[in-house]
This record gives sequence, C-alpha cells and structure tokens, in this order.
Amino acid sequence: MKPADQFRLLELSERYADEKLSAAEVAALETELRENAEARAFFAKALHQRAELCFDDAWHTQAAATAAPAARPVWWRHAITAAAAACVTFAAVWLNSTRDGTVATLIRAQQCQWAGSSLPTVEGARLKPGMLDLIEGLAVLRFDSGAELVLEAPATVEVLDGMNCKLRRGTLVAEVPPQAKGFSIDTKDAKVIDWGTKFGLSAGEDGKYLVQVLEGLVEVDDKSGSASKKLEKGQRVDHGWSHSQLHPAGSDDAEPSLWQPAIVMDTGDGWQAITTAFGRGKDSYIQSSEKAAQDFGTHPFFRVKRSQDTKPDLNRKGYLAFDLSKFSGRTLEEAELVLTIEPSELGFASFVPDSTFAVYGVLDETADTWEENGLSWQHAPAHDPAQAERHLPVAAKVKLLGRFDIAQGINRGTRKLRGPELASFLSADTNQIATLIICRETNETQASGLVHAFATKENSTRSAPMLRVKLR
Amino acid sequence: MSSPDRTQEFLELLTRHDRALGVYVYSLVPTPHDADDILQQTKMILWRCFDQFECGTNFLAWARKTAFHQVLTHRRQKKREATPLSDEMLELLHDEVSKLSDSGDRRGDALRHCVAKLPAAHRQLVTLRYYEDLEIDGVAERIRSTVGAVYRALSRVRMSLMTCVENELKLEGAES
Repeated sequence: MKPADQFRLLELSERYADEKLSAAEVAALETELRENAEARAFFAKALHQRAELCFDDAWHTQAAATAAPAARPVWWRHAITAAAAACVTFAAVWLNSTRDGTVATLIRAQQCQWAGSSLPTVEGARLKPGMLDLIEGLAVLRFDSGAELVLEAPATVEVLDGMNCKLRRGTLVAEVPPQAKGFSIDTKDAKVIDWGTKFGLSAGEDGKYLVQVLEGLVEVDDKSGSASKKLEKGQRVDHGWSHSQLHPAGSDDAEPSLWQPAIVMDTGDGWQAITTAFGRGKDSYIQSSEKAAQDFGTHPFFRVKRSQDTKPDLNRKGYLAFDLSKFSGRTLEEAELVLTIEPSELGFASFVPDSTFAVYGVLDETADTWEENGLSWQHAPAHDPAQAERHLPVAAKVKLLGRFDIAQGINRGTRKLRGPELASFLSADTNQIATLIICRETNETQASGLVHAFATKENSTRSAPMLRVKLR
Repeated sequence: MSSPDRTQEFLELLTRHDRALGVYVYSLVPTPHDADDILQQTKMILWRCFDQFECGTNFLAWARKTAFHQVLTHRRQKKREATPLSDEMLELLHDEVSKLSDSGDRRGDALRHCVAKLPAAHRQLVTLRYYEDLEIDGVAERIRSTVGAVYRALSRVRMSLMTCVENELKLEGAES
C-alpha cells in the first residue's frame, strides 16, 4: 500500500471515530475496505492504535514521567451510566403548541432533577414545544434542526420549535451546526441569533444576560432598541450578569436565620454541633486578582475554583474558622465537617468535570486571627500568591484533612468530611479556634468554567458550614 | 458456578485480559461511554455464562466473541447510529482487530515506548487529543490551527507511531 493511501486511511479512521464522516464518505470507505484486504487490515490497525491511546493513560504516564500530569477529564465516561439512573423525572408544562408533534430530543441527562409536576422520562425522550425546568444536573437537548443545547442547572428553557427557544433563566452552552444557522435563543432583554457556532449564554428573569462566543459568529439583538451586535470568537457581551453574580445583594433580613444557630447544639447522642456563626467563628474566601482586595466576608457563600493554564486565571479558596472554646479540655473522639452547596451561576458547568475538593487545616495557630474583611489574595493564612499551585495552600503550613467530590452539574445538597485526620487536627488545637481551607483540586477544561460555592453564615436559606464533634 | 475456586479463576482470567478486551471494544466502538457500557455488559455476561467456558481454551477469544455480540446488540438498540459501517464490515474488522489483540501486551508496550520517543510538539498533539480528550476543534483552538490541519498533523504523528511500533515488534522478534 502506498504511503499516501495509508495516510488517507489514517485520517479517515480518525474522522470515522469522531463521527465526522459524511454518508457518502462512509459508503466509499465501506466499499474500499470490503474490496481491499490490505486497506482493511491497515484501517483495523489504525482503530486499534487509537483504542490503545484512548483506553488508558499508561502511555502518557510513561511519556510524561517527569512533568506534572494534568487532571484528566474522564468524567464523561463514568458519569453517564450513573446519570441515566439518577435522572428520574422531568417536568414539562406543555404550552400551546406552535406546531403539532415534537421538535427536539432530550439526548442526555446527567444527574438531573427537574422542577414542578413530573412526567417520567428517560434519555431519548422526544420533546414537544413546552417548558423545561432543570433544578439539578446537566441536560442536553438536540433540536431537530441539529442545534444542541447543554442546559446547566438551575435553568428554565422554553422549547418553541426546531429553530427557536427561550431561556427564561439560567445558563446554557449552544452548539449550532451549519445546517441550523439562524437558530435563535430569546431572553427577556435580548435575542441571540446563531450563525453556526458555539457559545455560552446566561440570562436572568430580571433581563440581565451574558453572551460569550467560543467559536464562530453570533448576533445579539438587544431589545432596548440599540443596533444588533455581531460577536466573534472570544468576544462577549455582559449586560449586568457578571456584576449581579459578583456582587450579590446582601440579606436585608435582620432576623437570625433558623438555619444558623449561634449556639452549641447537643443532639443527645454524644454529638455536638457548631457552625461558623458560633462565637469567634468566621467564613470567607480569597480570589486571585490584580485588583484591590474585595470584601468577601459579607457574601452569603464562599467560592472555590481552580483555574490553571487559562486566562485570566481566577483561583478561589474558602477559609473557615470554628470557635472550639466550648470543647476546650475535652477529647474529640470523632469530628465531621458539613458544607452546604450553594447554587452558583458564575461560569459554565460544561467546562468543569466531576470535581474533587480538599480540606486543609492550618497548622500555625497565630494565623487563626485572620479577619473576614481583611482576607485577600495578597494576605491570607498559609497562602503564597507567588507559588505555582495557586489553587492550593502552602503545603508546609497545612495538614490535609480529607477530600470530597461533587459531580458535574450538581449545585445542591451537602458534603460531609469525617475522619481521624480532622478529629486529631481539632484535638491538637490549643487556642480554641481552628482554621480550615477549602480548595478545588479539579481544573476547568477551558476558561469561564463554573465557580463552586458553599453557603456561609450570612446565607439566609442554607445552612452555614457546620462542625459536628463527638466528645469522650 | 459460584464455587470459590471458579470465582477465583474467573477473576484471574478477567484481570489478565482486561486491557486487551477493553482495547478490543474501544477499537470497534470509538465513543468511550458507549464502549464502557458495552464492556460492563460484556463482563456481566461472561460471568453469568462462565460455566460454559472450558478451562484451557482461549478466554480472550471467548470474551471478544461475547463482546462483539454486545456491540451488535448495542448498535441495534441505539437510535443514533454510532458506528455507521455495516454489521458485515464490523465483523471483518473484528477479525482484523482480534489478530492485533492476540499480540497481547507487546503492542501496547511498544506504543508506550514510541510515544515517549516522539518530538515534544508531536507528543503534545497526542496528549491534547487522547489524554485531555479534546475534540479536534478544541485541539485546533489550543494550538491555533484549523480542524483540517489538525487532522493532517495527527495522522502524520499516528503514521510515525505505527511505523515505530512495527519496528519495535520486529526488533523484539529478532532478539527473542
């Protein structure tokens, strides 16, 4: 076989595996492979080599024995089976159909929960025009025009027809193939028309929106009457969205929330619990930024993010301190940290795989005096803005207490960390206050990935970070 | 079937041939999550039917045959045509891939060795595509190139890997 033919077959095998061959190319390939045994053996060899590269990472580990390996996004492979099982129902409030019949397919539903009354469904369900209200997970809709939307919870989308839909609130990533050029997504204050591309869109019920073009060309038609804008790859229009996410309205509610008791709770079975609202407890976060320090202490959440190798890199780390004075002199037999996930609408969940978080204890007790409003990227315990691993604390100044995971698209629920490391770290405390640092080990796969958030004591609906201990 | 010896035997066989079986299925089903579903299904069937397996015969061949049947079943169940080639062609490819898979770990070892020898720029391409699992257009974006150019560059690298693997295997054959 000539090298040129081998080369051609290799490229065909790659595009075949990517499902990028046209029907005509597949037919020609089939004929060639049937008639030419040599070509067939070569094609099989190409597929087999590709499979060896895809099946595991052994080749990479060997090749990059010295370099630090990047986090491998194998999430999709493992998440998908669990996702089908976890996704039980979806709500579709059928509105007046603009057409008869179905216009789209729910092709994937990962860890999904849907709001409202429910129709049982599975992946593969055909959708008529109507409303989808996703409260948890990631769901992929494919319109019959070929346009694909990845909905990121929480999101409410109204399916109109094969070429139109409305994003009432939330975030989605749209991928529109050439045949669906002109696919449009309406929001309260703007209409986004796609000219064959990939873009992210966030919108709120208050009209705020954000359009970010990842590839190709998008037209944004602001309903205020100003001329429509054409956006190219890398460009974005931010109509109040990021501002509202970055500057959350403080709670006007002066009443202390039921969720945040400033007392020691005794559950009677030897376990006691406190939150960061107790005594000298505190919670805040820091964010890598050239700008002046911002006051994150009053936010109803702390944010955690790793963003390495992307620009701008916005790493964030959470800081918690628990007042241990009530347990002073007692031996902690067991301890458990409980964090409540706060839905974050900052960034795209599509770009952050299943994530692992690490919890560290700060060893130097003099560092426990940090203040919620004085914490900054330039100045924080066990932190060095100059170190390479910016998303982690300074290794020598902390002790790893454990890890927990949050699957892609999950934005509710609690995570618990329990173990001897946490109990012994707290037992070793001598100044009645202990500082913990929460980091995300998982990197985003491209810029503008989701920022995870957890409720703080300033949160009026969700529980503050809680420490449960069992005293001997 | 569930006697401890039999269980032990099954697990040993499965562990020994796990990678070869995995690569076999990945060859015929390029979409990883479909391939993983099929693998899982196959392993369950292998276990359920293990009492039909005669000791001393070729476990890998038996496992591949079972897996191939699952590949066909999966294609029929799927609304979306994942692998557009015909069943007959898939069977012919099954024959070819089975031969490669019989060369066992030697082929995989040679490939690892060859990847390590690639020039840095070529290795980066392979890493972006198969380790970071980027789509071709994602790779194009990362290295500031076009989709067509990435396919061509990747094919060139794959070609040099193939030549390298064949040479390694030949050398090995000469030494032993």
